[in-house]
Amino acid sequence: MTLLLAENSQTDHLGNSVVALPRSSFEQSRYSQVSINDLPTELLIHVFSNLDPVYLNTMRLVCKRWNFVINDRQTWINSFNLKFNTPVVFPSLTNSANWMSEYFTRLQVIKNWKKGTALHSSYQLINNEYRFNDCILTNFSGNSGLGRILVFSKKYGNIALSNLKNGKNQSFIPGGNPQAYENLSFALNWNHLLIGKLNGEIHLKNLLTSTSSGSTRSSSTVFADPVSHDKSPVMVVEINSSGTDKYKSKVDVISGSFAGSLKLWNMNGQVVKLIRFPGEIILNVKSNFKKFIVVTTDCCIHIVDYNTYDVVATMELGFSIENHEEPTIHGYYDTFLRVRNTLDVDFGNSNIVVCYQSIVKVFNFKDLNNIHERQVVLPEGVFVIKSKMQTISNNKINGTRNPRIIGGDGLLFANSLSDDTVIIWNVREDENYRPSTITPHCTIRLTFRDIKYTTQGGVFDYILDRNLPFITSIALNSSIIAIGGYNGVANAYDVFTGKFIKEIYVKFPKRFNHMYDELIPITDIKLNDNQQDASGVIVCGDTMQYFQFGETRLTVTGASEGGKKQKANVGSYNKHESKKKIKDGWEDYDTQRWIQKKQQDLFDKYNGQLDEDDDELSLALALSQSVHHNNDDLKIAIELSKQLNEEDRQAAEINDEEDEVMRRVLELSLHEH
Amino acid sequence: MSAPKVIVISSDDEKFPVDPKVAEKSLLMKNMINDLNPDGLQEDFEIPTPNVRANVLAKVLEWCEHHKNTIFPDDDDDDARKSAPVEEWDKNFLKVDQEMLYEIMLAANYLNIRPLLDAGCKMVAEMIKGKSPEELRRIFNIVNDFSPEEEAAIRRENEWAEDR
Repeated sequence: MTLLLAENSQTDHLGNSVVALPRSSFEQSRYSQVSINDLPTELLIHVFSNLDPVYLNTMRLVCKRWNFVINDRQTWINSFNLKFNTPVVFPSLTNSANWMSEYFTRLQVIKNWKKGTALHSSYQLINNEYRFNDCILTNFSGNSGLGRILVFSKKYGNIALSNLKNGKNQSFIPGGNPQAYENLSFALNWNHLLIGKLNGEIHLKNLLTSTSSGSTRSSSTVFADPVSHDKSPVMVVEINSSGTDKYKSKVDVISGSFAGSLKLWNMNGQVVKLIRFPGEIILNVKSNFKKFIVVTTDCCIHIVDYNTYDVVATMELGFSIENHEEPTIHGYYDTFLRVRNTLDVDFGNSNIVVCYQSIVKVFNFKDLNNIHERQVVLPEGVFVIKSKMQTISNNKINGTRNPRIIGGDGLLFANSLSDDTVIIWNVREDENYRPSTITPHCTIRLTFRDIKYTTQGGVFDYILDRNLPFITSIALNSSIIAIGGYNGVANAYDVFTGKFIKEIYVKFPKRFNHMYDELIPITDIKLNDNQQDASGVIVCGDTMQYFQFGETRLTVTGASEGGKKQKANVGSYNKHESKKKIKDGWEDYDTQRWIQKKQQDLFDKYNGQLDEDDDELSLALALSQSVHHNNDDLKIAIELSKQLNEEDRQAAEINDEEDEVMRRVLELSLHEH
Repeated sequence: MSAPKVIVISSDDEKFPVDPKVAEKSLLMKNMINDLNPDGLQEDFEIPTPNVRANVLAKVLEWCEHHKNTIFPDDDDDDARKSAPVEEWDKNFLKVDQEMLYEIMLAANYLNIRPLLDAGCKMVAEMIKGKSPEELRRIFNIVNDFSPEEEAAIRRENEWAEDR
């Protein structure tokens, strides 16, 4: 070919060899003088970007040039964009550096959401305050695969605890405080409840030793600061969510007061450090209890180093939180908390997200001397209703961003707005490109028809008459966004295209009659933090609905072990209790068996006929085995997944321990009762 | 006097008088026309395209002529652009030999005619879809320049995908 070129061709201004040939048919064209490889690289990338990622791997074998072009990150970014509508930066489902692995996993996960066998269980929490739930903790993998859910109601200080997936083994920890209205702020982890009070006190309740006897016997410890005598209301408290220091010496509790004093406490109730922000009202505190503490006040953001306790950066919010009520009236401080901005911190990439009225801002403090600010400009008269960072494992938020992961290790954020739209955007930006605005990559506009209500007729009119928002809650992960309305109605949409995927709820059984008589907004939706599982829970007041599509990482062996343990332990209880226990245990076991059977059916179905999608599935399965292959790309992938597995395993161990303790305590409390 | 024309001159000095509306399908020409004629086109305006041969330019202008009234999705609207299938007319229009196709793409790239470039890229992608490396080399007249070791290395990496 080179020889031919030398003889007949001339070089044009672009440096491409051109030969004037008569127009020929396609078949003849294989002998043409200008090859596809005469196109400049950017055009080849453009061509290859029009191909589904599944073709790219084969194409690498054609020649060195193609291999080079296909190894270009941009080709994959474009090809993924074509297939999944993913932007340049997006959260990975696999946390690997292997594009093909990400590709097949993504297909599988979307398929699960779309077509996976649905499993729903609805239950109501006993003894909890109907509708008034302020904090919901979920754990999808612990407790022998049944998960746990903890619901706290600030109004009464009560806690309800239950299996997440079936609502069994419920227990109730009463607030035991008739003056619950004095509770201003709270923080929860699985072992402790922390309450900040109007009178400046902080109460710590150990959930493991609290009983369900309903007595007023207080099991809480009062944190008092003997030095500063600051009696101003505790506006905000924060507790280490990943477990507190067992030697009780490290800072595990942070509190912020109306008078602007930030106190760092250890679990012994001693103030390790007091930092004053005079003239400011502390309204939000977030920390990963490793590196930084982020504080927002009514006008500023302060970043405090967790280890040295120094204030390392201060920036203006650009707005101030105002409260026009008289300081003397009841609920004045609560109003501050109601109108304050939201605060979400991505410690992994040093991003602070604040949302307030019509403002959404991101401060990147990676370089403390040069804090980079971005904001979204909402249309006139539109304001933010709900703000949510994507559901993701704690390692991800608190670890360090790894740009080698597919999609640059992105992190999504969503806001629901007063015009019944939802915007989805990236918290973590492309590091080479630092815009000053936030550009949502997806906007979902809900219309009247999108949210169907299971309640009786006239509900639509009710919502319209009172100008209530259609959207009451949102939750998102790396593949879908769940948007909730009223009475348990929630739908899933693709987080990148915004396309409707499916209704994720089923009608509540008739015995939940309050779901049919009244209009109850969804309090929250929690998605499984394992990005590859299509499951979650819709919380509608005190009524829960667990949903799951397709197979999940459920460990069935662990579950049946749990059943056995329960049976082995019952000897020490009285007859009635043990009968009940056994019955519960068997019910759980039956549930497990049923889930197992469902999964088996699912497998059988997949192993049956193969349509095009199923081919992809089988490729995906092959892929999971292939991770053991020895080559550079995969090496990185393996390394990453190993790290993650290790972390997961450790986390799981801790959880199991906690589970064990919790379970025993609950059994004891039941016994006592 | 008739309305002024834009005269596009190919690399081999052939002149193509076209309606300004047709020429403006090319962002490069559109900017040139607007920048050099701030008061609007008063007389014929020559634009040399030293990179484009006459027969290619003729094809490109034929496309512009056909699409002079088509409104294409905004350049920034990536979603609409990438998902749109190639129009039937464009498909037939681009059924030319490969050499011509690449030259049209190069010209479209140079003259900044996004919709034509997109259509060309999609046509080539269409030709690539679902073919084996050997078939691709044959179709595109590409010489395999991998050493057997290099080829084996890539094959190993891909093995799992090709197994199926």
